[in-house]
Amino acid sequence: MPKKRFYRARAHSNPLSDSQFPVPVKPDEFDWSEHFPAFFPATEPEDNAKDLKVRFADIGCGFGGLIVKLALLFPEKLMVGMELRDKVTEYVKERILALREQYKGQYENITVLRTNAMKYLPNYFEKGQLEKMFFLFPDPHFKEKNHRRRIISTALLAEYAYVMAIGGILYTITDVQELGEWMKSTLDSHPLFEPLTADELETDVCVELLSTATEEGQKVERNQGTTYRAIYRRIVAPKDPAGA
Amino acid sequence: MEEIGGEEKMKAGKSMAPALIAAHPDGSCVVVAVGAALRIFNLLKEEPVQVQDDTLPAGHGDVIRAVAFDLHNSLFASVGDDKLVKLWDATAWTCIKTVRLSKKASAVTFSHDSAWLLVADKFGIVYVFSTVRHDAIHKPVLILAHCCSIITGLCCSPDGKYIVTSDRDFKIRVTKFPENPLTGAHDIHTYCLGHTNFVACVAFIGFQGLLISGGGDATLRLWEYETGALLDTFDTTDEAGVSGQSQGTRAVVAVAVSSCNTYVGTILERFEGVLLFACDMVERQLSLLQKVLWSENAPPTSLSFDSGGNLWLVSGAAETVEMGDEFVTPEALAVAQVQAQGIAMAAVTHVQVVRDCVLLGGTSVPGGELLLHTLQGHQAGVQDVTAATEAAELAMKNLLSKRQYTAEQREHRKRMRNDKVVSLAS
Ligand SMILES: C[S@@+](CC[C@H](N)C(=O)[O-])C[C@H]1O[C@@H](n2cnc3c(N)ncnc32)[C@H](O)[C@@H]1O
Repeated sequence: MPKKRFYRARAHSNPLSDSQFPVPVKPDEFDWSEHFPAFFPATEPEDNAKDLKVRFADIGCGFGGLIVKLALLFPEKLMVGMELRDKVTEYVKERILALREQYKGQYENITVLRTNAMKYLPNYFEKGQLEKMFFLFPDPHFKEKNHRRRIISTALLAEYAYVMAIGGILYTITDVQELGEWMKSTLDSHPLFEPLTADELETDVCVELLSTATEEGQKVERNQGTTYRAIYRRIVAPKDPAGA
Repeated sequence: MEEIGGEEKMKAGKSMAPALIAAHPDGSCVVVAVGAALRIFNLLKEEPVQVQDDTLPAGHGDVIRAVAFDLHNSLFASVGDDKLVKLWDATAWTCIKTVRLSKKASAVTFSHDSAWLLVADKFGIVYVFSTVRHDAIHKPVLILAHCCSIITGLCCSPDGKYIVTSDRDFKIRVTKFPENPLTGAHDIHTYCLGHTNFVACVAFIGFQGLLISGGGDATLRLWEYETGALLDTFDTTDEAGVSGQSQGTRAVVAVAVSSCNTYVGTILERFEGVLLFACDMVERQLSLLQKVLWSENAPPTSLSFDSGGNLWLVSGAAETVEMGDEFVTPEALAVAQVQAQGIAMAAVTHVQVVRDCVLLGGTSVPGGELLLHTLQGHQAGVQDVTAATEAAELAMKNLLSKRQYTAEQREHRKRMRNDKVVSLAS
């Protein structure tokens, strides 16, 4: 396992500043096969039975705790962690490779990408591609003038709705009360999302992982902090029965 | 908005804004916007027009960055670095209303039914206003946003269904035009992806769902905006290597479509001429019809077709006053206003007309000498116009191009930022 301390990074990156990483011009120009070699066998002809599209995205995945858990829960789904910080991304990359090495045949369905998810999601995903999006313990950006850096906002929800499938689920959790309320009210007022019912939350296997799977979640749990969840479904726009 | 290192900001100094030209869709007049001023010539009466602005503040206080006519109601809008949005009656040329944004504006357009005015600011936010003279809402309402990008082009599809926005991050976004714009446009229909550098301009052609764009990758592209499919790409690189400056590609900076869709006019950075294309609506292809070149005059900064098929071109630029985005006192604003109007008055431009792929010589343009005198300003010296134009193009390119830094430079920039904070605090 890679040692986390060798991958110390700045606590925060400014998501609004330009960074240096390649970004595909459009989704079909991105080569996922090197990320999922077990799913894209080099020799055999393409296996049509397999869904070769990424369906889950963990936005701001940090050290990758969530995708590592989800990998075994949904072994047939391809999923990606997206992370802005270079060193943290490198750590997750190493972590996944180590897991694949240690547990042969497992963890082949997860990968990590260094990118700015506030800017480039449409470069990676087609319309309606994602079945689940996760935003776990996002940076709070407390100051009013920095609210535009928040990863859940009305404008960004339009982009998330675009890459999400109708019926797909968007999960958020935070230990910052003010941010929790902000995310909830932003989602509540958005016409393309509706909250899950209590019953649905009960039966969704991902819900429990929100507070337990990630490094940030475990830290909050150790300190017995309170968490605030907002979990919503992508719906068809009202007065738009076709959903096109 | 990107954070630009303090050092760089200073080196750039005052920037220049390119001159703009727009022909009224009813053929009654031509407008040149240079600096903070609108210069208008009435083609029917063959006389200059003075605008009348009784709103507050009267007139623009810094360079105008974008203008637009609506199609049906004889409305005109101008927006700029003074953060003001001015809506004009384009028959009487009186200002209908002035609204202030919190940031500098970068693009403006009308909805296809003329009921709404849409304005993009430099932080990638698009605001909407009613074009009704006395509507109840005086504040700009946010309709959509491109997160942390600069919106370069903004237009509403002729079928009334979509808002199209282009940005510096190579994207063109097609958003559904909402039933009630005041509650926002949340439904992104598709993206048109394919440009490999900033997108500089977008325009619709015809009524069969086609969109044209141009950008920093020197291409002109044809799209089906319903699906986002790229139909054709024309690389202008080979066409534009005429004046010996073969190094570096030239961005496609502006595109205009003639009223019967016969011609697509395109201008390039540092290029003394205009490329005229035809768009085959059946084959859905672009083909180069004609290169109209001139060697003795400045490269055009803006173009517009009038209803009679004349293609109007302007060259030139004016210096910005640069009030910054922070709070400024009313006194400082008033001083800037005077300064901006002074700069605009002195600014010279060069106006030319192309008809049926031929450049009309000197005073044989519609409106003749009086028109040129009105729109160009004092004795338009070619050298002055060229120098100003080049400065404006460089400023635009710097703003839109991705900067490439080595790791070392990035570290240096980071340190410089911290230094700045410390020195301000002490
Ligand atoms: C507080 S951490 C939470 C990490 C992880 N989700 C967890 O629960 O442990 C937030 C993470 O989001 C990342 N991040 C912030 N803005 C981002 C963006 N625009 N795109 C991708 N990642 C981003 C940060 O670098 C950081 O690692």
